[in-house]
Amino acid sequence: MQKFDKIKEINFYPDRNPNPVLTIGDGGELFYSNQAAKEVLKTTGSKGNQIIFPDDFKKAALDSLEKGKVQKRTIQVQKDYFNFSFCPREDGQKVDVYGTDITEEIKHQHHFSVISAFSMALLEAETEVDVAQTIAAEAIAKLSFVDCAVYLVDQKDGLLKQRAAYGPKNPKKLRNSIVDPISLTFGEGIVGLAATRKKTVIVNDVSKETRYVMDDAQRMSEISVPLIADNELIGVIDSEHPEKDYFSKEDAKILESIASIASSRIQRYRAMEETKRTEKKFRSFVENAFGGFYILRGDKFEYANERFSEMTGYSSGDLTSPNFSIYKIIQEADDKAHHAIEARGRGDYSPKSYNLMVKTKSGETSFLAINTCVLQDERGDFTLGIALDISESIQARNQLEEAVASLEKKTDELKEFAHLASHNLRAPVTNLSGLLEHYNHEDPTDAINPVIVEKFSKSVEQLNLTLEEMHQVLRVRAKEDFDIRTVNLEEVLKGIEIQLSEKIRSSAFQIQTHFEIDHVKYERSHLENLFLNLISNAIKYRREDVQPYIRISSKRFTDHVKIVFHDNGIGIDLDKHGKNIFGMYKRFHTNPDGRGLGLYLVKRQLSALGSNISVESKLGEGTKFTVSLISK
Amino acid sequence: MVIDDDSTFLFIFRKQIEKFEGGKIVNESGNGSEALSFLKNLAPTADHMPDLIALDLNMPIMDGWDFLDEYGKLCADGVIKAPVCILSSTINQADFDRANTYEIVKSFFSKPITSDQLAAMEKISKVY
Repeated sequence: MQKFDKIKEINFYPDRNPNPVLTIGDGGELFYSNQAAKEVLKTTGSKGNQIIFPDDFKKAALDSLEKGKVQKRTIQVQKDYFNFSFCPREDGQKVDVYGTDITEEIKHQHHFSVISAFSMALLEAETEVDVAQTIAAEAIAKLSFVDCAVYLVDQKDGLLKQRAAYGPKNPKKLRNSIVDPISLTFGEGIVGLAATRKKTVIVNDVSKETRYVMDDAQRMSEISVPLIADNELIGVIDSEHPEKDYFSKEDAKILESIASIASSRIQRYRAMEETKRTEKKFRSFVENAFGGFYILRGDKFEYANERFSEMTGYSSGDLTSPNFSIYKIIQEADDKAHHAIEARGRGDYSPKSYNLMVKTKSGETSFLAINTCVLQDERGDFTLGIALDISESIQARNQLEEAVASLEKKTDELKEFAHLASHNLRAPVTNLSGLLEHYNHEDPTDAINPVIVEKFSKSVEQLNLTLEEMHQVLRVRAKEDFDIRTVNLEEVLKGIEIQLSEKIRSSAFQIQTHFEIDHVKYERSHLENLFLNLISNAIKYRREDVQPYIRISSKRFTDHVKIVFHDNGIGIDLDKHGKNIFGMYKRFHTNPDGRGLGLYLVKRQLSALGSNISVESKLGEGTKFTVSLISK
Repeated sequence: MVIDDDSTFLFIFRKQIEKFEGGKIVNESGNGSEALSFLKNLAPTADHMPDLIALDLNMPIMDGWDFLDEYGKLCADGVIKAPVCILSSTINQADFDRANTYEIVKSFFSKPITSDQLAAMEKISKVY
């Protein structure tokens, strides 16, 4: 109610109304104008007593009289805008005009439309330079600037570089090139000042400004607005004008709004570029990595680099095909590996490392050392894996282990040899000294003396034999250069028969042969030793109650020659002595000639050339030695 | 009783015992197996029941170690309880250590055997 009263009061006292109120006649003559109206109309000028009304103002007044209806118009008077209501009086002679100053609203509207036009244009800008050029072009088009330049901070040298410039210097057609681009350091020129202060700088008369840096032509006024993101300077928008006092606070406001939109746009673009660069770096690192790299979701590969393809033999297309499971390449994995291979929401996100035995596409086995970590994205858990091929080092380790085992075995054998050799040397020597003590020097005719001498020579013989055996064992150990040539088995046998002729004759021993193959390529001395040992053993351990014999046969197989020595002697209890039969100084019979070294030597010589010997025997029936000769 | 496969050593040992006059050899066995069958067939009151067994280690068929295992069972049955002295050419520490693990083995003599060692053996035969 109070408010209504106030309006009534204002209308009653129009002079006090801050808005223009006037009454004009149908001939355009002024009957009344309040103070505000006088201020407005002063600007339109007068001719004698006649006020000069703007044309559209006069036309609207006559319109209202003619139609007898209120007319509303927005009319520009100089720099200001008014909404005028033209109210005809009933007499049809006069019109009361009420005006409202809407200059501010119009300005805001303009401001808004310029900014939204900028925003729309900026949406299409894809690079920093695009943004700069859009700002400059739109400033000229929408803000009626004579020129506009945009400087951006070069991330390499920190200098402000002109990235876009429009105006007389760069006609619109040359959008992508700048004639003589300017580089400025912070603080240099008006642009530099705005950059340093991070605030808009307006210079109304550059002739009074010592900081002015002339571009293409001298201008009178200049505005510089900084582009700022996260309180960091990105660049500067700069415009100059040939008139003094050209740039208003309104211009500054609009440019600041544009600067803020453009800054965030550039910032976002830079962030995207950074992400892209990082991604590119990461991808290139992964693709060229020495290690295999893969991404696994469940048991399916989502990605595998070239190196991982090489390790598995499967192309990355094979690996990432939807039917391919990681289990296809796993040959062996322990529990630790199985647990780590897949991430299935176990809530265990700690990094894992394990070894995997992998079967490649071509069926080969290789060993991979794998490090994984489980990550999450919008589709859930996935595993990032890095694999190194450790097949070679595993192989090397295995070889080393084999070498160590073989060395240990040899060391054990040598120890045993040294132990037994010393024993076998000590025994006859202690016997010799013992015998000497009992020799009767005072009475050479003592009946014991010939017995002592006989035993003495036996001990010496034993000593000789032991030394000879040791020499033989050491010769095999020393891995002499083998003399492999074609050997006739018949000839070897003949030589042995001559050597053993006395024993063969006295025991009426029979040697029967059935050689399917009688020529083999082999080390002759090894074959001679083999025949000598097995035949002399057969004679030594013959049964007295039967006609003793040995049957020797040979047969060719693809990669070896089999020679079988089968006798009808007393046999060996293999249940008792099986594991020792080819051992050093193992004797299984009381026959005093048995030295316990023959079979050991035979076995060693054969295995030195990759050959093998095995035995079957039954007590009281005979013994069968089967030799597999690796002969080329 | 002496168990050894070396006929020359046995010859010398025999002569040494004759000179020593502190005892006699009730049995000579060429290996552990022969010795065992001799001992098993002995009547508890037999006059050639040994007071001491002199044992070699390296022998064919059944060596000294296998004999010790079997002899230990025989002693557990209470048939016999003669102590064992090892007479060997070995100089291997491992053999000494191993012999030490047998309670029935009372001493270890390296060949050649001296008269002092024979005296020690006589002592052992009387103590146990």
